[in-house]
Amino acid sequence: MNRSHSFSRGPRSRFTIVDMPKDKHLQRKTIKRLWQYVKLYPWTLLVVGLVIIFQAAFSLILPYIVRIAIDDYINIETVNLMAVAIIFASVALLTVITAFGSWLQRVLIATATGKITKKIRTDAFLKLQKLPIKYYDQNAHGDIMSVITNDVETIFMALSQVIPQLINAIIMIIGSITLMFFTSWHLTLVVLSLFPLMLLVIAFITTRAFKHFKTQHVKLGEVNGIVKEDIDGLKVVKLYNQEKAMIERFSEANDQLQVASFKAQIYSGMMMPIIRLLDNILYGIVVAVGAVLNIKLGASVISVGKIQSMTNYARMFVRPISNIAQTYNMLQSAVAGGYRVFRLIDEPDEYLNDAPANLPSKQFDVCFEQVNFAYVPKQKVLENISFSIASGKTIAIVGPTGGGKTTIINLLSRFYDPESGRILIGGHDINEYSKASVRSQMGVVLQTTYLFKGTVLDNIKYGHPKASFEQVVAAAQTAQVHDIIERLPRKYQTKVKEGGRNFSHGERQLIAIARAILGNPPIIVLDEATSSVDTRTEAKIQKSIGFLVKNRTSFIIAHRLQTIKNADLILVIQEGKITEQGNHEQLIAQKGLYYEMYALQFNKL
Amino acid sequence: MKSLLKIYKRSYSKKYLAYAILAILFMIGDVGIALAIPAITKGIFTEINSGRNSLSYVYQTGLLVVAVALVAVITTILNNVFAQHLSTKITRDLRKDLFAKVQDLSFSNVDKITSGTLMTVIANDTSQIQQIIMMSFRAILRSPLTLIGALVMAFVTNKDLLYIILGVVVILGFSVMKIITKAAKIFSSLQEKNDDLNEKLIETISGAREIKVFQTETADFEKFTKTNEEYTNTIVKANKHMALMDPIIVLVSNLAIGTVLLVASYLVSIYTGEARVAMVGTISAYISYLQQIIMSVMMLSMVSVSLSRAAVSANRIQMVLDTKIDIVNNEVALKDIDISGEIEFRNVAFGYVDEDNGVNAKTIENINFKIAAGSTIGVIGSTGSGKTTLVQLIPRLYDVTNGQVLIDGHNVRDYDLNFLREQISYVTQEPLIFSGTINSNIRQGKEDSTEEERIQAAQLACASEYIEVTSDQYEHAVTQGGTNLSGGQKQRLSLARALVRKPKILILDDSMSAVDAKIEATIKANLKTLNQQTTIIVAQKIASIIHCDNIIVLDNTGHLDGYGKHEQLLSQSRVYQEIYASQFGGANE
Repeated sequence: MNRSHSFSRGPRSRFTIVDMPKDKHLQRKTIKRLWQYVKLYPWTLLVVGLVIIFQAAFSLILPYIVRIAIDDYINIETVNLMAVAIIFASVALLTVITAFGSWLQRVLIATATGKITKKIRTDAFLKLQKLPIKYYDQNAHGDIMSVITNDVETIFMALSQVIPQLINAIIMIIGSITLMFFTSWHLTLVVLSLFPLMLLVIAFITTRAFKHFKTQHVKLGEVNGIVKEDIDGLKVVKLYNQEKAMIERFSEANDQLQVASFKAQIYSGMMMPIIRLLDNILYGIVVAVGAVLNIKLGASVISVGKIQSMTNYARMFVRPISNIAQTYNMLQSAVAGGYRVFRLIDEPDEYLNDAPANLPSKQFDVCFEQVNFAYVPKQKVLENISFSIASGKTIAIVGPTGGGKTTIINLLSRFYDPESGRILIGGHDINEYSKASVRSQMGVVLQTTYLFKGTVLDNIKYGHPKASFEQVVAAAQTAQVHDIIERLPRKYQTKVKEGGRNFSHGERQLIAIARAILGNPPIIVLDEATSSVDTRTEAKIQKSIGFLVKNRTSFIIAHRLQTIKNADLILVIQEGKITEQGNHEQLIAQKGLYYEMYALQFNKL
Repeated sequence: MKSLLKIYKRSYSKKYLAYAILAILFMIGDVGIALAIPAITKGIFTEINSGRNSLSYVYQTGLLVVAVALVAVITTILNNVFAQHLSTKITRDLRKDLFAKVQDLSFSNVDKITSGTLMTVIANDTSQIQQIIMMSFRAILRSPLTLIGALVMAFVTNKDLLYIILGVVVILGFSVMKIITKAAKIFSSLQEKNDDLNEKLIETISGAREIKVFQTETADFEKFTKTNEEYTNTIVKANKHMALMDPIIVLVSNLAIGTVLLVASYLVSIYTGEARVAMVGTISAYISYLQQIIMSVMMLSMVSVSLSRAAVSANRIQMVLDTKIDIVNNEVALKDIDISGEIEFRNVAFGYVDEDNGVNAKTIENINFKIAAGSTIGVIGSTGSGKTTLVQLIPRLYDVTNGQVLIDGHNVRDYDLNFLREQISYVTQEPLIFSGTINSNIRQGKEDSTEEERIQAAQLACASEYIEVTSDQYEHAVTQGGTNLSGGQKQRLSLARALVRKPKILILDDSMSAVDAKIEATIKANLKTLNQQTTIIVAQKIASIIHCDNIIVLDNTGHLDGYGKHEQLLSQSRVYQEIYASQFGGANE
């Protein structure tokens, strides 16, 4: 989703939703990790620190200078134009220097935080590539996305804006109190006596506003959920005339959102006027008490200029307090974001205990020896699976959905590792060799094929960027997808939309088959590779599949038994166990599940 | 900009006129007070300097300042209350109107706008509008008012110092605008870079299996690095521009204060008498006005960016709201008549609009056939031959490009749309399940169905067997998209929803692909017992449609290749023969 950027933050942005373990230890650890990144830029840190101090000192000192100008050189009796001019010139010079420093500081911060977040994003991305498939199966993809996009963005905001602001606020508070004491301790006591009241008011507003922003956030999620559900299911909404019912459901959530949003805005909108009120009350009190003291004690104790600068210091004292209150939430959410980002970066990598040696196999016979596997502990998906297939032969796996067919493929391609038992390729246990070397022996066509951004040509060449155009066309012809591609508006140069949504499932599967053909691997895995292709086209590619599996060890999972009849070995897997095995004729003769399935598909013939 | 005003005018303006007026009134009060305070305090300084030492005057003025400040806080809060009423309510109405509009859009409308854009418009663009309305009161209307007010007050206070202020306004306004327009340009290209980065991330996450199998990590990382680099560089560049902003404001305002002091001291030296006394107080008031002016100039420049953003959002909102719905009721709008379920296609052609490639390819063309009421019809053909397209024309999910679709001799366009769809149950390929319960999903088929009807429908669809083993039975909770149900369970549930209304026309669009063969056979047998509706079965497998009264065969180019009974087609349709051979060829060996 779109995010607003630094220079036009919306009214919501100061209150971000925090989802963070309350554990202080974890928070500290996260801050330390962030520091590791910040530490890489010591010069930036130094310059930024100096500039912030200089800036704060200058803005604190300015009222003092103005006071001197008013008190000593501009009054009823005498005006020392020369002195005022000198003061003006020096203030102007200091202002120019501070402005330059402040510009430099901002540029340095922008550059360094840009580099830091770029590095964090890169680190997270590198982990993304190395995460086991298990991680992707178990975590919602939207959540993973949000960590690398939103959470990193929050860190960026915190580093580039909040923290400098916070440091500045702290210096301003300390500095203004000190200077107030030097100017007039009487008036300082007056200002400080109001301090607890201010804190109380600010804390009250902030917590209230935060609470309502949280509700607003939740309600917004609900509203968006309904919109998504409605748009996704629009066909059913229309076909069953559900429009009114949907509008009613939407309106209810929408009304609640309005109320929550209203309350949140009211509370957060109270912050500024109340701060201004406190400001003005302080101003009034300082001026009034100052005037009284001026008259009672004389101008030598409290001059007009002193009152004037006291009002300025009081303002410098109030503003940072509200700043701190408001930035606190942003800081918290940055720490929470950092926590999630580092949790992702710290996820165990699938290559962590990867064996260094490459699979030395020259022969590609595959053997499963008493393999057991469970995705969730104690819920066995595969139990005691043993079979072997000679090099260059074809094995087919059939059985009801959820029986464990795809799991066998997941183990063979080492997306998951078996709990016990061994898988051997050419007599070598694949767990003892690097994952990359095992996978490079395989061409896998999955049930749902993901197409990447780029052209059709890029997608067939995927993984083999050096293939020539002729080779690509040859592979496409073998996969029976060439004619389909030729009919596309820009043929092989037709752009693939995100995920391949401008291609049907069947077309995607054919492109994936072409991809696999181009790769020319010794082991071929077809996991429901033609499930969405119509039977007529399937019959046509049957020949090419025959060509593809020839002299390669092949694994075929298929619903349509027609496609696997010629396999050298057929396994029937039910509830994680091999219940039948043999070739087509043997299984038909057994009159077991295979026979039943076959009869059902070819019934009444 | 125009569309922004248009949105405000859309009936909402009258509805919430009272809020708008009150918000503006309190805002004016607010600005007035902010302008009055320096004038009041000026008096105190003058009084002190006058040497009259009148304590009661100081007390009075001090109290006055506090009282005025209290009034100010009330006006500001009330201004906010009314402004928020206005902004949140207009946004709420806008969201509702947009949502209602989406319900009316046809699928060719949705295809054109894209569902992604619709989501963004309802979710994000409306928030932009809410923000811009809020900003109207915080800046767009307030800043010019403050600016003019402060200028007038400054003028009234002292004419000689006004030149400094005018100079400040010009210099500041000019430079801030310059910085912002430049940065805004960079920021607008940022969105594109951000989309690129997100797309790359989605690819890496969704294509994880492919990346691992084909070991394309390096190439993948290179692409990521490029987008990451571009995105970061753009942000840094924009922020470097913005880095000028604060220093320039501080610089200009400080120099202006200095100049005011310098000139004021000169003025004090040449003034005499009362004017000289007043001048000292004037200085502090002047500095206050100066600060107010600088703030308003700054806010105004900032707002210009938000305005251009909001205008983009407003355009998109208008685009959706103004979309001409292409599937609507005719003037005739037949309804409340008895339908027998006879269907006829006359010279039907249809093509989807392909917005990217500009090719309006015909998906189906020159289709002619007639289906007798109460019969069962099969539709078969290759992937992409237009089977789904064909059946979607019956309930008018799309309208034909050419020709006519008729039910009981009447063009489907002549029926009342709701009435037409009530006669038809169309079960989609991908089961679309809504969050709620099993019951709420079945009830979508018939709002006023009795419990028995729903149970009966579930039984016919073979859904009752899995429903009745759950603990809550028909009240079993279903998550969004039906993610807590298996594919087969979802398909059976969507079939139950279709059957509960006892449709005159039942269309099954390859809707039992995830149901296992045994259950599918039972469902088929159940459907036969109903025997009251016209049934159209779209299928991949000949076995699924072999017993149909008639079978429609589509070829690769979306033309009718055959229409008739199984045996007939076996001898007449080449496509049918090929399909048959592909499915049964081996069985006879």
